[in-house]
Amino acid sequence: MRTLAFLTADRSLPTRAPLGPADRSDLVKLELHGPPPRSLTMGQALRAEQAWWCPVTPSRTLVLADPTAGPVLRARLGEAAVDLTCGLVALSLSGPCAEELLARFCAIDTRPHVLPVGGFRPGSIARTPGYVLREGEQQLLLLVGAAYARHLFDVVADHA
Amino acid sequence: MSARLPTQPGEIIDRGRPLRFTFDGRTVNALEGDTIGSALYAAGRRTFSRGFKYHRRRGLLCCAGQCPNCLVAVDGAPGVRACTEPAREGMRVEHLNARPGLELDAMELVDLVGRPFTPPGFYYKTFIRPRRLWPLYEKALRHAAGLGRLPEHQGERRWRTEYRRRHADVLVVGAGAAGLSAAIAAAELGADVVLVDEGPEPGGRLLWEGHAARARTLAARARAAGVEVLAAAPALGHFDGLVAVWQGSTLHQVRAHEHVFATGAIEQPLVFPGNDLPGVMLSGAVRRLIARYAIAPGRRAAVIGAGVADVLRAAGVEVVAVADAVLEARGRRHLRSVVLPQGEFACDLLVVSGGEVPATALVTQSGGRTAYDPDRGHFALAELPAHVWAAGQLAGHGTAAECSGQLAGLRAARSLGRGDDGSDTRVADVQALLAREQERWSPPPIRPGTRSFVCLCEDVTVKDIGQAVGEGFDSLELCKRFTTVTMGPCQGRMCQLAAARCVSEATGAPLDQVGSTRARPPWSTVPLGVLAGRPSEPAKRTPLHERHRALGARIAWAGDWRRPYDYGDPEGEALAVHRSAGLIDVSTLGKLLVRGPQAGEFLDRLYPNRVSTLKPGRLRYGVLTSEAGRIMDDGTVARLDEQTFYVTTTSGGVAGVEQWFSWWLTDWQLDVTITDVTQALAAVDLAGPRAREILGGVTSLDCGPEAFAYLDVRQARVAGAPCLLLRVGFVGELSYELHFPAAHGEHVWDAILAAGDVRPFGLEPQRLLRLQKQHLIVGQDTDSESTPFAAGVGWAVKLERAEDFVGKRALRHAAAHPSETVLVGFTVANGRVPTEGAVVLDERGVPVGQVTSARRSRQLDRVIGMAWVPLALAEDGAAVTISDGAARLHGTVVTEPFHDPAGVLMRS
Repeated sequence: MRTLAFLTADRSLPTRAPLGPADRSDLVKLELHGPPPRSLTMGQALRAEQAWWCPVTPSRTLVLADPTAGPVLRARLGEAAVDLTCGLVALSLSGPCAEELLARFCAIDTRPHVLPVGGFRPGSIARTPGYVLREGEQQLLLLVGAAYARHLFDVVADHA
Repeated sequence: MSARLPTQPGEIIDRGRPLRFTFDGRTVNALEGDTIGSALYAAGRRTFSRGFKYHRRRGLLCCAGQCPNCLVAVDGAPGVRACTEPAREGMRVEHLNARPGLELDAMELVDLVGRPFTPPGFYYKTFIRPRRLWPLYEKALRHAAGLGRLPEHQGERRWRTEYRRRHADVLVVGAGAAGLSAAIAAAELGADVVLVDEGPEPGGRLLWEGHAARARTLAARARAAGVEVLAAAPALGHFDGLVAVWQGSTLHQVRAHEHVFATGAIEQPLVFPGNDLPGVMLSGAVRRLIARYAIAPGRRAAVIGAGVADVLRAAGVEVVAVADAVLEARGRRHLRSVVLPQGEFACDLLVVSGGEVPATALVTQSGGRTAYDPDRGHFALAELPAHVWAAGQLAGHGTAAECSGQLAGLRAARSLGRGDDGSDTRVADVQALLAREQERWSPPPIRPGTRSFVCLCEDVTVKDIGQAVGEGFDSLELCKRFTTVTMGPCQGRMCQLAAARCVSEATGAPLDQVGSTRARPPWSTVPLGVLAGRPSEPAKRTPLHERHRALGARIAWAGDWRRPYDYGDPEGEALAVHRSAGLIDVSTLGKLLVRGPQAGEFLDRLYPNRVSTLKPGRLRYGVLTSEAGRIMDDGTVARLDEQTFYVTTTSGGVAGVEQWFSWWLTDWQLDVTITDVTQALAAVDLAGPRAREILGGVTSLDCGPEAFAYLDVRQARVAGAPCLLLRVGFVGELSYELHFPAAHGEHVWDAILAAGDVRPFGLEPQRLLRLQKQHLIVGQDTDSESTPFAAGVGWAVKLERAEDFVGKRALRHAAAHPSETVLVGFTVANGRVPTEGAVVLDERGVPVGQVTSARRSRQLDRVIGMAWVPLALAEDGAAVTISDGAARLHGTVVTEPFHDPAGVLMRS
């Protein structure tokens, strides 16, 4: 068994039910330490291998992979990657009012010229630490600690 | 409604849409667009409030939301300015600060006979003897003071505040001609601009000075250029770049790169005897009443300064006199006559203007500095910080507001890198235009008198300030604190300059030395509920939270986590752990992965015991200390392979420990990485004599005492889920701590509960069980001064280690100089459980320690606890006295764990 096998959920077993249609926590989330394997600019994620490669710090990268591509990527990166899939909840805000909705509980500047597609920012979301990634013109992905999943969904539903 | 004038060009009332509200229970007819103040004035009301101290009648003065004269309560919320609050159908408006009523106020006696008893600072002078009566005085004074009452108990909130964060390139505060022009200039160069104004419609004074069409043209241009215009939205303050803007039920938090302040100027009242009488009105108020609400402000008017006389005549008001100065206003309930240099004139309206001073409060909060300008007779902006611009009257460009605004907007946009060389040419052109403008103005004299009010909010007169200076409060700031001048609802808008001038005259110091008082936020009156926002308490929930709820757990806060306190029977749950097995959710434990070739060395430097000697598959208890040798946190360190360690911390300590680790890692530059996996993993502790058997039912791992011994670490599938298993226990029985992916939390929990005679237990039984073992809880049994030696975990400190570690020097000192108090266990004879925090007394009754934990144990059939006691008492059998409220409890010290002192069960 791999040393960090206990961090990776077995999809053949029952897992937590999604909290709603916008719950995208099934994205595979991998943390890499050291120089990023791809050329990354702080604040800007790169889309490759069906994954967003998000620079958290110059020596720390968060990889958000589509559920289908995630296992392959995880296998390729091996023990260099810490599987944080279960540690972060992901929520997608989509539509023309996504930015305005986010502004009700988050101070991160998401204006398109400041946070273009691929823009990635750490910050406080609903008074909890997290990240915002712009996946599309009108699509924002929010990531916070999994323990705050219910809180985040309640806040978003309340403001929406 | 008969007081309404024919249609005015800039009026904002809709004559076709009447509405009604009540004032002190009486129905008031209004029109859509009216404010409460305009509707009441149109209905003939002249007294709107009573003075704070002397309870003199007060009427409309500024009609601009600046002065305190029209403060009312609306639907139970006090502190609303009637002159700017829009009238709404059915609203309930009530007067403030007058009993039994506004027309007959018993406290008016203070004005008539009470002045000798109410000098400045009277509450330090006249109501202090005899001392025993002070509580009575205090009650009476508190009853009389204040502006309105808040309900003691708030029912369900009928409104709630949204916070809205808005980032912008340029924020323009003030939507008069200057602000609008600034916004347009910046937006037309491509900047993202937000424009805010406290008025219901952009335009500022253009709206009531006959240029409403121009205002609307500029506003339309601004919107067309993409400016977001927030009307009825006062800026509350500038907080290190964030400007809070209140708009109805929304609090905008605007963060802009450039700030343009076009906050205009505030018309000042004159200071003369009787200047507070209803009927004395500022010229701006008169203009507003006529132009915006089509109301004739009086029948016979005297005017100080000629500017507004024509406006009054056009509105059908007889102007009986125009003068340059006023000596006195006379009247009892309302203005009856004025004494001018040329004689006394009967009138019901006196229009005055003490000139205009720039509204510098917000810009000074942003870092701007003001200085007295003798040419203009007021405090003007002398210095602006970077990225802050001033426009219009604030910048001293009263008659060229649009040019001034353009200049500020262009400069802000250029500062952002917008525009081109042509923009610079425009800047130069506008600057040249503005350079020609030079206004000179001298303020009118202050006329002292018993009822010459400098500060209408706090009823401070010229005489009061002179008296305060005479008593030694001879600077403006001291005078402010003593007399409370400038500290009322207007926040110095109407009295700052006059107060400074009074102090200057009383002390002989020039005004540039007297200076002005500091303007602090909030600049506009705002309900505290707006600042509080919506109730939202971020709560961490474990992956098993819904299972706990389904089991009927009582959920309680534990730090920032929501945890099951118990499942209804804490004693029974604890007993189950002793007799069969219990299962507790410990997902809240902090969990850190420390990896890398130098991970062992790194942890060796952090922990006072050695970690690098751990073999893979083993774990060790560790206590983290600060450089001062004080306990910071504790937990276990498990070695998963040569380069991977798994560190657990207390539930509330993980953020601090990760920060601590990262801080030292940055300093030491070792080849190590740290990852917080706390929320990625669920964790449960299966404990009790049957734990091995039950665990064996859900895993193929050999859980025998040899194959999986105490302090061993294993990886295996549990109920099919990948799992890290730690043979460690906090509750004193055979225990297995299982850590597995959070996504499988409920699945594994369900499988274990189904595997045998196992009962869930909560936080409370866990606390009892660990107390039986005298296992400490960092933060509850320790404080910031506790060392491992004093707290009974000195065995985890290995001072004999050759290499250095954090806190070694301090710990060596602590080992050589035992603490005065130490943490020990105790039992209580009479069966009463002392309160945590109860005081330990010595034989003289002097407090020498305190109880940190105490519980009744059914298993042990006695009351047990832990307490800090003097070193001399830290021996088995020593007697301690505990003071718990009025009770004295007698306890006996027990230094060994109460339950299974040898740890046989835990190691079994």
